[in-house]
Amino acid sequence: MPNWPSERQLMGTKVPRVDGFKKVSGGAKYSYDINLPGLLYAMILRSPYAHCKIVSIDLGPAESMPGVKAVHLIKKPGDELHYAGDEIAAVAAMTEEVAEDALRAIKVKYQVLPHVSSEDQALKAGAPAARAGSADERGEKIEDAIKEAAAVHEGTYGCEVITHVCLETHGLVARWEGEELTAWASTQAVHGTGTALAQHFKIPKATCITNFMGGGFGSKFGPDIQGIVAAELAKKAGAPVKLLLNRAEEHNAAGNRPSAFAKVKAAVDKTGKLIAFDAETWGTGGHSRGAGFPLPYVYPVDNRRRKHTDCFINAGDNRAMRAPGHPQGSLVMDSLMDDLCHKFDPKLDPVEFRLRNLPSTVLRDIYTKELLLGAARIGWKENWHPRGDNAPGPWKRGLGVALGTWGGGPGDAQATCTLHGDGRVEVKCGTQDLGTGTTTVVPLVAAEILGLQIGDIAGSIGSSAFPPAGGSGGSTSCGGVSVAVAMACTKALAELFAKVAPKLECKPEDLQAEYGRVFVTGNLERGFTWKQACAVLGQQPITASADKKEGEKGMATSTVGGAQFADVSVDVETGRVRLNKIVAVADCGLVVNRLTCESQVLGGVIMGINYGLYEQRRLDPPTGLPVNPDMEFYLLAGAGDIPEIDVVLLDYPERGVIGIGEPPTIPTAAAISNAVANAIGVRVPVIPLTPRRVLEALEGKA
Amino acid sequence: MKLHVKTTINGEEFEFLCEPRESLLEVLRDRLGLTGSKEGCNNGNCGACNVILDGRLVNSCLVFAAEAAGRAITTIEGIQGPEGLHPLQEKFLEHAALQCGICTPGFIVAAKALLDRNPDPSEAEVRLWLAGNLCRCTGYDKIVRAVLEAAKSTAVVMEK
Amino acid sequence: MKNFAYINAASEKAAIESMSDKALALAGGTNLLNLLKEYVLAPEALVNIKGIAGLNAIESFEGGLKIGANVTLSELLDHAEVRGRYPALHQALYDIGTPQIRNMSTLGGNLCARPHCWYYRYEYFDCKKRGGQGCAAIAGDNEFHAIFATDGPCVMIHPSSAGPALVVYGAKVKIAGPGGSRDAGIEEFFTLPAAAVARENVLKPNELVTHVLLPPPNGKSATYEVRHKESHDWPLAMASVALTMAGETAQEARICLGAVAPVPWRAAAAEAALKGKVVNETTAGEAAQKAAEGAKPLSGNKYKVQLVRTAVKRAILAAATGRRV
Repeated sequence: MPNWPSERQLMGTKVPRVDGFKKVSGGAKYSYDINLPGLLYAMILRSPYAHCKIVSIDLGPAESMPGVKAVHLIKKPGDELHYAGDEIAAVAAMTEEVAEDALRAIKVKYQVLPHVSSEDQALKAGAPAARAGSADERGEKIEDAIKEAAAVHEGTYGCEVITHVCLETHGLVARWEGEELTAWASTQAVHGTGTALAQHFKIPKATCITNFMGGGFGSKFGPDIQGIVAAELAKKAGAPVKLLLNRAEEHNAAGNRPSAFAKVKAAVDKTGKLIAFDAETWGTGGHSRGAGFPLPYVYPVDNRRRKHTDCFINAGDNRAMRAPGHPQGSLVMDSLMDDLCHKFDPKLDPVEFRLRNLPSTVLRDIYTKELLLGAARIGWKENWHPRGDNAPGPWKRGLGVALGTWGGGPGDAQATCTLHGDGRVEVKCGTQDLGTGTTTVVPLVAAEILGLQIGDIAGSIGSSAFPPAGGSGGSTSCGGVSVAVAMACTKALAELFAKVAPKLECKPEDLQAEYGRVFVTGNLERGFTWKQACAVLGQQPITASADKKEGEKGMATSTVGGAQFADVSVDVETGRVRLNKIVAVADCGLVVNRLTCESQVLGGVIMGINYGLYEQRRLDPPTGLPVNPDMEFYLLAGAGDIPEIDVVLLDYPERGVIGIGEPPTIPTAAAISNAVANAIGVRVPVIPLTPRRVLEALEGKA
Repeated sequence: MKLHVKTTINGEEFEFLCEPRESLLEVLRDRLGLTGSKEGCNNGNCGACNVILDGRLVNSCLVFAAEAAGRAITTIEGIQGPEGLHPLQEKFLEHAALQCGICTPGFIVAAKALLDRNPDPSEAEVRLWLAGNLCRCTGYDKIVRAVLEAAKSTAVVMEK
Repeated sequence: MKNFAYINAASEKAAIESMSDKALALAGGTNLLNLLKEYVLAPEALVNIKGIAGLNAIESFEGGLKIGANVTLSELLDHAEVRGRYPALHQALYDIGTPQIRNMSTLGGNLCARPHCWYYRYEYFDCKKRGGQGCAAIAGDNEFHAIFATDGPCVMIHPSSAGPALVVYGAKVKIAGPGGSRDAGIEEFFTLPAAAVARENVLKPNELVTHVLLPPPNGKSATYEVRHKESHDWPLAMASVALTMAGETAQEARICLGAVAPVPWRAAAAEAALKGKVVNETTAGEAAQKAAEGAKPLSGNKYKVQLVRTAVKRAILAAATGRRV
């Protein structure tokens, strides 16, 4: 079975990004930086109502406007528009200004329809606005267990809808050359996007290029309507077209994390073990998508029942967002666990309570290690107190903990490795770098296998012209890409060894490549420099291809657990929460690049902080129109809001490579919510924990 | 009606025509090919479009291009010196104080404006100053470290 | 953004002659550009007033300061006298926006800024201020709206953070118009929506704030702002306080609230409660209770009553002790 080299020179070390120079100097060209000769700018006309029907539409005034080069109808009269932001038509013009003028000149008559703009309204309205999902019931003794329980707690918890807020918005630049379409897209899937465009236009192939990308977080897997529209406009106008969403469109129409609410009753026996769990849950994922999330989460319970209802409201649909469903599950479950622990025994340490309720899977040991390690790093023993800080003054301090879990196995990936006679090494893989560091992973892994330095490798990703790789989702890129690259390099190296061996009068299997040399194992001198070795190839380079399937067993794995701890202070006279410290213990198997791995954890934690304290998509209750589709009233933490974040990478090299993008964002908000409850003595049931909500919870307590 | 604007960007003279309603950011990106300045929010909240205008840090999305007339502008493309990267850029690289990199030019320009004014800022001062720059991926910890380290290394260079 | 003619005004006179309800003054632009981008405002012309001589200086004036309307918030923050003698103003400015915003925003612009109410800011909502039928905030999401003067017709909060500090210092606003120049007391400058819903102050379309006159400070002062985020956020509630002290007793107290009413909101009952009292936790707390008197919160912002009390109490204590709380 293939495996990683037992002694690694590069993997697990801190390697600066190979694309960093371009990013810090302003030279990196993102999709929205692509300016082609004759480029046109496109914009989309969108529904101004939460729910309406198009009665008539007159594109004439836009078509006749000087500077307008193409107009494209997306919906037609009679079509229904399901949310404020639903697409109607698009224009391409010489400048952004003219495009906007043209949009405003389009005359549309709407028939306004009744709308539903909140979960409560949907539940009240009943079907079809609120649709019961499948009920999940296991075990038969819920009622009995509750009767016999040592403690029962009932609580309601919730999380609001948030949006991805990729700093580079969705969109692409489309160019036709005859029947050939090229798209520079901001996408998490160059192959998927290329294929989708080709299918739409019924052409053999469309090339999708993503050299640099400004974040995706799960929301950018295809060309989307705006991508198709850009290509349609480019075709009509006979000129390249750029269509990138503006910030409001990004909030309204480019995906979100569904809301999640839960009314839960749970019970423990006299040893403090969960014995019953009964939940009603609901949430909204927009006008046509559900709002599922895992529950119960992390902590197993045999007797359980859950009824879930999806609320369909007139709002933009959800898309996968960094660990879809899991932060919601974590917030509900870990809040419940703390409340239950408090009810069971106010003096019982919540870390101990969790240790008693861990799953009996591979994660048991991992969670145990993480809980003990994290508790030590946050100063749990010294500073934890039963619920409610009695210190004088308005600032109350508290500690909280929460757990998360994720898959993160190796995603689909193929790669090629080409060795040239002059020593050049080219590695290609049709994956993409959302900002996570994949661009660096490719040459790093190749250099590790070939015994070279990163600078010796020309790695290429970010084009559908390269060997197929899956979309970057589910924290699967790093695993899949690392293995595919390693296998391709291993194969190429074997071919090289076969050609070099005769020159060194040895068998190919006696050779190894390390320190920039190819030599007979055990005798560094009996060999060649890399260049000398490659010279045997002359004008006939070696190209080897590999699929991650060839090496995934043993080199990559899935299923991770993570633990996070929060130390907070709460001003009970203003309801403000100040973070003192976060400890994030991340289970990451074999670390590929320690530098970017840490960054991923930090970024996940900060997204979790935002989820817990700040972010909330707000729709005006009477009209269903968005009130904060911006970066001003849609609050995001700044540098001054972020505390010390202690990232602990729990190395498990024997488990192979595991994706790290999603797990670290899962338990942060729950840990913060628990710390706040610990500080002020009362649960603030719904996140984000705004001053209003904290003050209202305190008022309820008094 | 188009306005004729002459301005200096990164020490070079530029001339362009623009409508009064065009922002400086738009002209930099679409007209002059200086795409290092990014559009994140287009309303003065994210800082991705930061430039230094006559020595003052500003959001170029909130400045009309017309107002660049006769002014001196530094964009991210002008931060790097003839000898290579500015210490801030080097430290951002070294500390991996970037992920997707869209916010990075704005952070570096903002940090440059801070160090121009206060070569030895405290951590609190750095955090406060960077209030106008939002990052969605990396978070701020490494960015703050990078700025503090760059301040240290520039101080050393100045002593020499 | 709708296109417009761009006019550079070289003098006050030229600016006034160019200005009208269709030709708006452009100063720092941080507020105006966003409103133009959202089509909330769509003037035919913008009159750039940044080039007007004499409007960008801070000068000594009758023992106090005469501040040109075009002085930026950063320049004010860096000014030794503002920092040393007018701490309530300095602290208020310190919490405004971001370095980038403060580098562009002017004091005149801060006083004349249009509301940041989201129902005003997005053209698809009904807003009386924009000529609509009603105020969408009243039945809508009003978590950040006014708790005082909420009888309508508009429940915006005034966006100026400098306003309350200027009120407690008894500042005057110098206004230039076609008929010459006049001074308005800062409290008379701001007007309630009931007086004229379309505007927030006494300025006529062809009038311009040219200076703010700050009398010499008379005692101790401070501002306390409550907000959600540390980095770049609008205040949820704020209070500026100026105390004329005799030993530890407040002989006079001026207390003004921000972010809770359509104008900077004088808390007269709180002032009266503190007057003649030794300033301590207890008396500050009592005055703070009074500061919320008369509040009529909307459906979603009752919590702001508590914030007002906290801000007032902390501002009083900060003024008296000279320490930020």
